[in-house]
Amino acid sequence: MIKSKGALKSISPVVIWMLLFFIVPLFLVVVVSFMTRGQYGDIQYKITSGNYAKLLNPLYIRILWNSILISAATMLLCLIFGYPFAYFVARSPKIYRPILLMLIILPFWTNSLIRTYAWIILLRTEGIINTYLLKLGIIKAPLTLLYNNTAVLIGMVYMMFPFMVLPLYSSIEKLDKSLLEAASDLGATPVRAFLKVTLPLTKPGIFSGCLLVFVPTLGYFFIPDLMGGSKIILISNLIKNQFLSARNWPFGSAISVILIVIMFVTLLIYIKSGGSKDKMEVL
Amino acid sequence: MVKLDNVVKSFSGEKDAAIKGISLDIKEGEFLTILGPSGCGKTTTIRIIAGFEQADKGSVLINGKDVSKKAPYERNVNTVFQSYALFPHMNVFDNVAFGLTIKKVQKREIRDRVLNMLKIVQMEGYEDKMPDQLSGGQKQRVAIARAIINDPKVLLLDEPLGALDLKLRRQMQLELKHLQKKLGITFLFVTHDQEEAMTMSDRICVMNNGLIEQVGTPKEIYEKPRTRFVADFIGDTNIFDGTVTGINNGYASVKLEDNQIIDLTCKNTDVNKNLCFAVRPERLKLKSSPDPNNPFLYATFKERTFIGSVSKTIVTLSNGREITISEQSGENYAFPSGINKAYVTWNPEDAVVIKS
Repeated sequence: MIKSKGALKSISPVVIWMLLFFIVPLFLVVVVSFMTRGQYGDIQYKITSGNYAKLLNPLYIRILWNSILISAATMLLCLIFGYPFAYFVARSPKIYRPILLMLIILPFWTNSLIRTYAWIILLRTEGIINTYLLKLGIIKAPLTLLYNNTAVLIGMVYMMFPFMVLPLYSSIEKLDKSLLEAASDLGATPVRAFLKVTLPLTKPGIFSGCLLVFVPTLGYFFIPDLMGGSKIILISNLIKNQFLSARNWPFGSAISVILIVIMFVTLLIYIKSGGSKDKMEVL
Repeated sequence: MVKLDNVVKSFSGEKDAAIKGISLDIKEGEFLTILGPSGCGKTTTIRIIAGFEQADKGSVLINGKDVSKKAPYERNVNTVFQSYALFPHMNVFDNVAFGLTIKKVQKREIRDRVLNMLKIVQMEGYEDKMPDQLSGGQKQRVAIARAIINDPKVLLLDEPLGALDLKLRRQMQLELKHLQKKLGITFLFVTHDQEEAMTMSDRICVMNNGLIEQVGTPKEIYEKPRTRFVADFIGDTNIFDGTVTGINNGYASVKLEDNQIIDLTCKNTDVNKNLCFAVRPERLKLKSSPDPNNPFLYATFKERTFIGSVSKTIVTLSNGREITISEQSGENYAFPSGINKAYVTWNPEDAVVIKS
């Protein structure tokens, strides 16, 4: 009894924090999502489910589907590039590992908006890449590198890469090298040893990395905003637009709630497929 | 079966080579142990045979074929690792079946062979257990089963008993020995424990500092050590240093550190050469008077300790050098405690001349 009282006391700061900055705002968002937009963009306290009904419009369904596709593609690309990278770092001599990890984290010291603009400078029609390709005579006319799905993907993958690499690195680094020697000793070629030993044993890292990339990608709005131009509208821009330009807070809240539900479902899938609770550690 | 031919291996960042040229012939069906202190290169040797390391110079032959440049999965040898290295995501059955699965053996045959193998290592009924549910000894058995199910030409065991407690260790030593006899597989065992090596091996290869000091049966290694290191490393011994003062009739007169002169059977030596010999404590006898037929040394009694079935007596030479003698306890000591003047004596054939 005394013990549980003490335990309650010790977690109370966390509980208060969560209540104040997470539960209450979330509750407000849910409440607002059932309200009506006033004529001048204010919130009228008239309960309606119209905001959710509006989301069933094929236009919004498409936006939602596109968002999930872009997030999934970002996740996959991060995994494809991130795994060999993380493997390389984890298997490099011990003294270089902190330096290599540092190099991944280093760009984060710069504002992400600025880094996004840097990509725009590289990719735009009269940007650095096009200029040099033209000068070298490789292309005759500038390529359209910006303001399309590819550009959004490049930006997203770039931004999310470390979130994939870090959990992958920690699980690959933990892998006991003698297990690979054992596999080889028992007749497994390097490819088979990878498929039968390395891959299954680094699954927790893969799941964590995928989750850490997939979920935030759904919510990143400035990359599709800046690099996708007006043509690419994802659920994140949609929310932003509802709150800032359209001033339709109830509808924006409704989309937010749907986004939260999607993230929650993703998390559930992750926990179910990832297995035990210790795989939650990275969260 | 396995032949090492002048193998040299150094690791980057280390000044000294880990292995400085060793040649070793492992015979079919024998239990050979590589024995040596940590850092002597024994594990490196076994890893070169397994293929985890590549030799810088020299060659490794398995069944007469040069496999020096082959990868581990191309060699017909299997290893039992010091840390067991069981796959943590597979149960006991899948661990043992791993090698056969890789070779794409039929499912039913795999099942039969795995169950049979688990029976041999006394792990029936554990098929569905995960490695982290097993005790050290059980993991050990699974690791052995996983290796020998592949019918290796040679089974390499890298200090496999190191993590077990003493009692279990003794038990596993005997089990391993019986298993080896039963299966007829060549075992190459690595250990730093001389008692373990003595118990299990047909032959022992003593290594030190990247070189082989001596290869021989446990008896040979114990009774006829060839070098100072072997004499010192295996069991207790008394090592004497001296200078040859005269030679006649196959005998060399040797002047010891304390200026006493004794005769040794020794060929291939010369006057004024330094010479070194060893006598096991149980081969020494203490007398209260000199024995004219045998070599003897005059010494001063220091102490006698009773340690169970044997007693250990320490005497000193005039220069302070200590000599240990072990005698059966309980018998009437030829030399009673408490007298200062003592004569240490031995049969001439029990003194072994060694390379210092």
